[in-house]
Amino acid sequence: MLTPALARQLNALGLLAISAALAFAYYDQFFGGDLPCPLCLLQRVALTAVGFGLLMNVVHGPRPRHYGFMLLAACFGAAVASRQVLLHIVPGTGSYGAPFLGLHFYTWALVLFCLVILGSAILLLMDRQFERTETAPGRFSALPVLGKVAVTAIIVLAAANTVTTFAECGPIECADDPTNYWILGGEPLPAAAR
Amino acid sequence: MTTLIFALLTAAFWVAATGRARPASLLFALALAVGLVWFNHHMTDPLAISL
Repeated sequence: MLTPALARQLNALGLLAISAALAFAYYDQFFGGDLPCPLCLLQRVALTAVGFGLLMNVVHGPRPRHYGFMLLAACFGAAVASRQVLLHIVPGTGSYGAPFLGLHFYTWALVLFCLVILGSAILLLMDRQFERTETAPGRFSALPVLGKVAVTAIIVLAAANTVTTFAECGPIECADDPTNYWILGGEPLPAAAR
Repeated sequence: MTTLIFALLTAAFWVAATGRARPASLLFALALAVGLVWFNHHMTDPLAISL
C-alpha cells in the first residue's frame, strides 16, 4: 500500500537520484573536461524539470498533477536526447563526449527519461497515495530531514546550473561544440586541461 | 537562453518550497515553454559539429 507519507519519501529518494545524476554531470564537466553542448544542457534542463514534479510531491503531497509535470518534463528530455542520439546514430558520424559504461551521456539520458516515464505511470496507478488522509507539509520548514536534504540538493544544483550555464554560454547562445567558457573569453582550453 | 530556463526552474523550486504551489506551477510551465522554443531552435539550425 502506497500511503501519502510513503509516496512523499519515495519522491524524496527520486529527487536525490535526480540530484545525483546532475552532480555526476558536473563531475564529468569539471574533472573529466567535457563541456556540455547546447543539447546536453537542454537534457540537464529536462532532468531538473523532472525534479520539479518530485519536489511538488514532497512538499505539497502526492497529486496526479505533479506526476503530470514529471511526465511532461521527461517527454521533453526524451525528445532532446533522441535528437542527439539520432545525430550520431549513423556509423562514422562520431560522437560527443566520452562514453560512460559503454554508452554516451545522451544515450544514458534517454534511458533515464524512459525510466522516469515508466516509473511515473506505475506510481499513477497507486490511488491510495492521493487520499487526503494526512496533511502535506506544505512548506520547506515542515519537511522531515530526508525531504529537506532532497529539496536543498535540487535547489542548489538548479542554481549552480544557472551560474555555470551563464559562465559557459553567456547571455544568448552556447557554441555548438564548446571548447571553453564564454566568461573566460571563449578561447579553447589547452588540450591537457580538456 | 538556457541560463534563463535554469533561472526559471530555480525560481519555481524556491517558490514551491515556500508553500506557493500555483505560482510555482506557472513558473514551471513558462520554463518548459521556453525550453521547447529553444529546443526547436537547436533542432532546426545548422549545427557546426564535427560529424
